[in-house]
Amino acid sequence: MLIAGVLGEVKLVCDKLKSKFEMADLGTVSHFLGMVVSMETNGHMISLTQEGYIDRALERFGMASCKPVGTPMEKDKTGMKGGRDKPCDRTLYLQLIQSLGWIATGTRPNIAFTVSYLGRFNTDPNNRHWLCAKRVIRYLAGTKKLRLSLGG
Amino acid sequence: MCVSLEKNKVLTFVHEIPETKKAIPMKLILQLKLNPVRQTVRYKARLMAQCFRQVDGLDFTDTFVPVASPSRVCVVLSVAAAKGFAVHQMNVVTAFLGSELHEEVYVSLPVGVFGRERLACRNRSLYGLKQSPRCWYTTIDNFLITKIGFRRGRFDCCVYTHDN
Repeated sequence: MLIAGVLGEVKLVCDKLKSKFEMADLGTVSHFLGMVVSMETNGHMISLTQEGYIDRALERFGMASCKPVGTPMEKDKTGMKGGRDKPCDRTLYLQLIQSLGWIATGTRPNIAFTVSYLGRFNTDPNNRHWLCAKRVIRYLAGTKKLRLSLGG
Repeated sequence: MCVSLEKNKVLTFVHEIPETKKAIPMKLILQLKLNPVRQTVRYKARLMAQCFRQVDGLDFTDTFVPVASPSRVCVVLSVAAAKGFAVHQMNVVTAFLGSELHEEVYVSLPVGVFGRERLACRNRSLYGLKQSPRCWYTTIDNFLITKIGFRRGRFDCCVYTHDN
């Protein structure tokens, strides 16, 4: 759990919690929900990254040595609704989309559109969708060091 | 038995259980505990109840519980950054063992640990019960609101605010 506030009051709340529950005090936040949280400029800017999670996702989907690309989606790729192609492994596709969704909601809102668009094909994905989904993770591979800055 | 179970006085031995009830078997789950950079820091063992043996209406009723989402975490952190707040992180040790359980639950230890004894939960929830997350939420919610004076967020039940 996170407690944010003026330093003295945070301490007060911590003490009250400690009196009731057995607590492990982890100090100033550094990791939360798998995100690395870092404070900058005296706490007036907080930045979040999920570099570790992206690395693990790359490994899990066999993309650890992929060639990075500069954009999450190709231009004019939105017309993927019709057309036929050979079907892809749906389970794997869903796993990839879910992983990307977690990254999008956590620290990378810039892939949110692509992920939600690809999510529309969850019921019946084919090879083109699969390639498109892999492109997103290739984009992440090249930009995994990007951080989401809050405040500042 | 597990140290944490004993410390929290979760279980007690019983001679027999009511006829309508069945003891839920437990299993010892072994796990590697990793630190944020994925190195093994601990070998962990936890005695868990097998929730798939629980019967709806008999061993549990409600199981739903609000969970913090990453977007809410971002919102809270943005506010903290804008106001220059200190952000402190805490973890409750064996949270589920300290939360209140309202159902009457009986469990049995895995064979080989102690034999076939039956145990009863003493108003404390266990890891692995379906209702445990909800029990924990109710406990911490109650504590934050009545004891510390927090208000539950109207937009998210996992964000609490304090007027001072």
